[in-house]
Amino acid sequence: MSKNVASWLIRFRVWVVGVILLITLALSYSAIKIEVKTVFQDLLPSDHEYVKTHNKFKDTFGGSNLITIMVESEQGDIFQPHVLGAVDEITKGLQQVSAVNPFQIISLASKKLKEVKASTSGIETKPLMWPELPETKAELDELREKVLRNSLVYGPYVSGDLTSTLITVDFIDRLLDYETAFNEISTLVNTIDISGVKVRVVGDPMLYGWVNFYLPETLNLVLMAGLILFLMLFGINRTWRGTILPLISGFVSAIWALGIANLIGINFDPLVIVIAMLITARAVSHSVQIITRFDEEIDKIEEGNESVGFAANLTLSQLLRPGMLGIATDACCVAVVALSPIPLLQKLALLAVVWVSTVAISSIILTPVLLSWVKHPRGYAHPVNVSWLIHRLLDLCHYLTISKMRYLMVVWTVIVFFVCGYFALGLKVGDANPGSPILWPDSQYNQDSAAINNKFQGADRMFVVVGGETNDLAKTPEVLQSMQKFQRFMEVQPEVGGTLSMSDVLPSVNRTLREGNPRYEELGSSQDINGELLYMFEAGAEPGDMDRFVDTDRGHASVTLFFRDRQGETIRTAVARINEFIDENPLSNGEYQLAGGLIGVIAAVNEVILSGQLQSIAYALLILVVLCTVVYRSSMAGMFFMVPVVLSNTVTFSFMSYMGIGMNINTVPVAALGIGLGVDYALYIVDRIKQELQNGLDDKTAIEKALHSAGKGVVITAFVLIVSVLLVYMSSLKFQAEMGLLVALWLTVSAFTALFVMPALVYIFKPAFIYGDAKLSAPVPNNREAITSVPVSNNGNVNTSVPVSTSWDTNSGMPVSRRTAEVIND
Amino acid sequence: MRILNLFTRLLIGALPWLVIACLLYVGLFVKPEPIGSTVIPTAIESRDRFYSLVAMDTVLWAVGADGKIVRSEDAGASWQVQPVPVTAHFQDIAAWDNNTAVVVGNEGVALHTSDGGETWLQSTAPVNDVVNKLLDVKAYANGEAWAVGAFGTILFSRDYGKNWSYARETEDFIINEIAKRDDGGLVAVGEFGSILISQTKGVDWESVTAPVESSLMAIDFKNESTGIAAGLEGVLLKTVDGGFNWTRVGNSLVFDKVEVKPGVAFAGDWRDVTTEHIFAVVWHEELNRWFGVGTKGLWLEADPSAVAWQSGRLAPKDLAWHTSIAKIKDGVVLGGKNLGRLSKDHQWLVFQEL
Repeated sequence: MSKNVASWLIRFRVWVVGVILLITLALSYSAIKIEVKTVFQDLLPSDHEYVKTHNKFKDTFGGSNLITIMVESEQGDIFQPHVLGAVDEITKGLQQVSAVNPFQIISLASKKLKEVKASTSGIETKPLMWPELPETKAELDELREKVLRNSLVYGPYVSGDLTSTLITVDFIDRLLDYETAFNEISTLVNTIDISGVKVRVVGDPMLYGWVNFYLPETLNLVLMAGLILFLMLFGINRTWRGTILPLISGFVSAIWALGIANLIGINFDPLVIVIAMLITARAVSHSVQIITRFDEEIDKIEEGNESVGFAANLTLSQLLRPGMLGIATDACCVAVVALSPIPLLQKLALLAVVWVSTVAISSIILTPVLLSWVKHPRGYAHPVNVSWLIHRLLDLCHYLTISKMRYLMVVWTVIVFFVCGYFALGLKVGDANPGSPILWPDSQYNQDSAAINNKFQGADRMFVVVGGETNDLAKTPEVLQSMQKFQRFMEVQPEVGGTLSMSDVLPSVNRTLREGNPRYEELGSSQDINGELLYMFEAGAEPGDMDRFVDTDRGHASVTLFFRDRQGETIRTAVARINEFIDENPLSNGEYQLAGGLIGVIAAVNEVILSGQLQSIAYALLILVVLCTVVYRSSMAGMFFMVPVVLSNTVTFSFMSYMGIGMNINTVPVAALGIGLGVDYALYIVDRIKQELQNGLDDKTAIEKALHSAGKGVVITAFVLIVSVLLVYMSSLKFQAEMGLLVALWLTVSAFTALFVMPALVYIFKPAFIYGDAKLSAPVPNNREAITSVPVSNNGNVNTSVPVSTSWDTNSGMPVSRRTAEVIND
Repeated sequence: MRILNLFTRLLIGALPWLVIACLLYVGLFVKPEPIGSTVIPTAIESRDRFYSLVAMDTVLWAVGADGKIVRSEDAGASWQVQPVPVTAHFQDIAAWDNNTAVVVGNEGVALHTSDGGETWLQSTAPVNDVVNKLLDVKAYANGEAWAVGAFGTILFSRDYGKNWSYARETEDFIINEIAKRDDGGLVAVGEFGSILISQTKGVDWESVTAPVESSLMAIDFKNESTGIAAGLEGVLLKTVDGGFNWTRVGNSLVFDKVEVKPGVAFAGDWRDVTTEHIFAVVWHEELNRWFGVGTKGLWLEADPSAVAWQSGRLAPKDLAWHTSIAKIKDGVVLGGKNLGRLSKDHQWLVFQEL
């Protein structure tokens, strides 16, 4: 069948190329319009209980896109006119920022931070520093005192040493665009140029803003990688076809994939550029395989009688099976990632399936069809020949495979598997280190983050909802006292920097009402008294002032927990402690609901990604085994091709563990999509061994031949791609750099397995699906001599089907044909 | 050999499915574990409010909000929480010795112990229908004890705090503290500058007019005649006749040192030693001084005649309030938003357990 398809494609090559060109042009129009952005909502597993809580309450209790700005006085405390002026200026400026929720700008200079005072006329809530800024020493001292005795301000908004203060701002999620927010806030902060005042900014919109900020750099790196790829392919392949066709193939598949993605409404997350490189790498690999095979077929034909059409046809028909099988396994393995509950991964899986599938057209079909036009199949574009180096390496592979060393290779693989497996157990779920893993530790953002977390209880928040659907439930003494107890319990846990809730507000209102007598600093003894205290606090307040503590029905209240870092362990442990408290302190009315805010949703993501990843690997392996079993009609085949996949996953996990790369929402796409992308190198080599065995060669020779042809393609692509992917390590985004390393590692492991381990396994186990009837084709030492001694005709018209054997000319590094292939009547 | 071969083939055939099954199992059922163990709150937490404490040599005994009673055997270096049968906010503790003590608090709760707090038992105390909040308790020789609180409550006990009875009809104002003079007379102070005196060991009570109308929070006597009452906004009152007549102290005419400009009236002013709320005042016999504490880290000190008052802040950034003073050899121990020792040379040390 392969032959029919191949000849058909070559016969109608003009049509084939024309159609592909047209589609490419059409899709490129769509591809350039694809949106490059991170959609936060996509990162969340929407069915997870925490995310449901988050989505239900984020508008009142604070979303996950909070930006925290710290104004730091470099000399003395913050109670100096120029420092307070900066706070005021930023607070006012924030109101102009797009998508900002104007009721959720909280700072010393906003109306939100206030003092509850008893006066002759009753109780009075007065903003601390609004609208007038204090100027005289007496006013400044008064403000300092007000801050010091207000536990809602001193601690959460003013640092313990009084040298810094926070401004927090929340956004209206559906209007928020990370890039705009990042630009506007950066501009605002940069205009504050007051000596002696340092301003630091953290928060997810800033973080993803930085990712966008480095997007041009990332694109430059990708282009550089492409250029290096070009140069290296040209250097090694020495032909224009070997240089340009792989690039065309990668380019066409990228355009198709992005174009289709845009048509079905998928946006492109800048954090997954590495994935794009990984898939493009596959396209290039397949293409190089085909070109290598084509060159080989050309070589077989006597000089002067070359028929590029024939060679292209032969190549296509021979490589259709391993090529398509490789692509099919890749696509199916990637498709299982769509089972993940995280929308980003679902979209990404879809994008990747489309992309991988387009490789079938751009590489497996387009490349050989274009090859059929080649003019000077034997010509070289430059004289520098490095292929002898590759063949030395492949000789080594062959030697290791057929000598006793093969057992060593297998044992070595097993050792690597177990050692890496052991290290892989140390893989952290969630962020592995403090600070954002997306940026380098010395980046401005991470330094700011460290500084803020050092001075304050923590910039990252989680809210836990207490209460129920009944109105006013949050005012009952039971709920409020439970909240207090919960806060006491959580505050001593080292994971939590501090807590804040309505039950911190009401006692101080009560005390104020009682002439400032601390003996009355307590919650009301009934729902009515608490309601009255709440009313007192709200009197003269703006709408939304109590929002961060309690919802409008007064049924649900929030307890906000402050975290100093978002490491997976920290969050996981804190959640375990929260559940421990809830189990031991059940409420008779109402319930605790986990968990909103940034930390809440990260907790949700962390809870699903590890199990999701392991399940994905399992399903991917299942699909791989089934596909290989079907194609090769042997369950042994499934077993066989599991080796490179299992090995590359294990090595990658152990590498992530070793490098301290946690498995989080950003790394999981790469890890997940990498699962299935390790097998096609092995497929080419093993399939070639099978073909050669079917041609009647003995197994040693078949392996040698497979290594020197398919293996050559593997070496070239692996080497070229690894070098270009490593270029990404220069990225200003730590995440991109690490993922570049990860992809390079992936390519290395699959190439290594395909070249060294798989042939050894074939030779040791001699599986029936490869050896077929030729099983144990007695490795007769004389056999090879016999073949090589067959007289070779030089006139090129020999029409025999003599088994192929090749020996290598050590000087030129080129195969010396000892026979000719059947000549087609073309 | 054949069996072995068959076995190997079977194993190899089953291996992929086994691997997949294992991965699925791990993926579905194994969850990452939290690290470390739960941290149990220490005896003293940052959210604690210790309304009162007593000191006997190295034993410190403090009570506070949310039914908390803590005791230190080593002058505050380490503390243990004592189990209690109720969770009401405790307002005051009084002790006869290391083992025998009584605690009162919100909801009219009174507890007693005779084994150093190993077991706290609920006392029998009368409650009214309106509001029951006992704010102060005092212990005197032979098991006599007095407690006062909201709704004009004055209670007494003659059996080390086990059984309590009303000493007076209730009335709608808060009584904040009661003190016994050396001659056995009782004086109580409370809301709206109210002062009650009983010359008959609590049988009859008479009201005395105070020179202020703001709430009086604290009272103590040095002997049978000289006493100090203190209250909101820095009010300090002194009596020399057992509580019948009071005069304001702690404020004096201050002459500004700045030169007065020609034509400007004489610049001088009455200045209070403090305008902050005062929540406790005691006479320290050993140190021969008066001590007071209040809001925002306020401390007060005066000579035995209570004429020359000094005030200050415990520490520059310590704005914690204190409601209780316990006397020790070389200073006082304060209870409030935090617990700490103030030595006689004004060194402030907060007790913390880390």
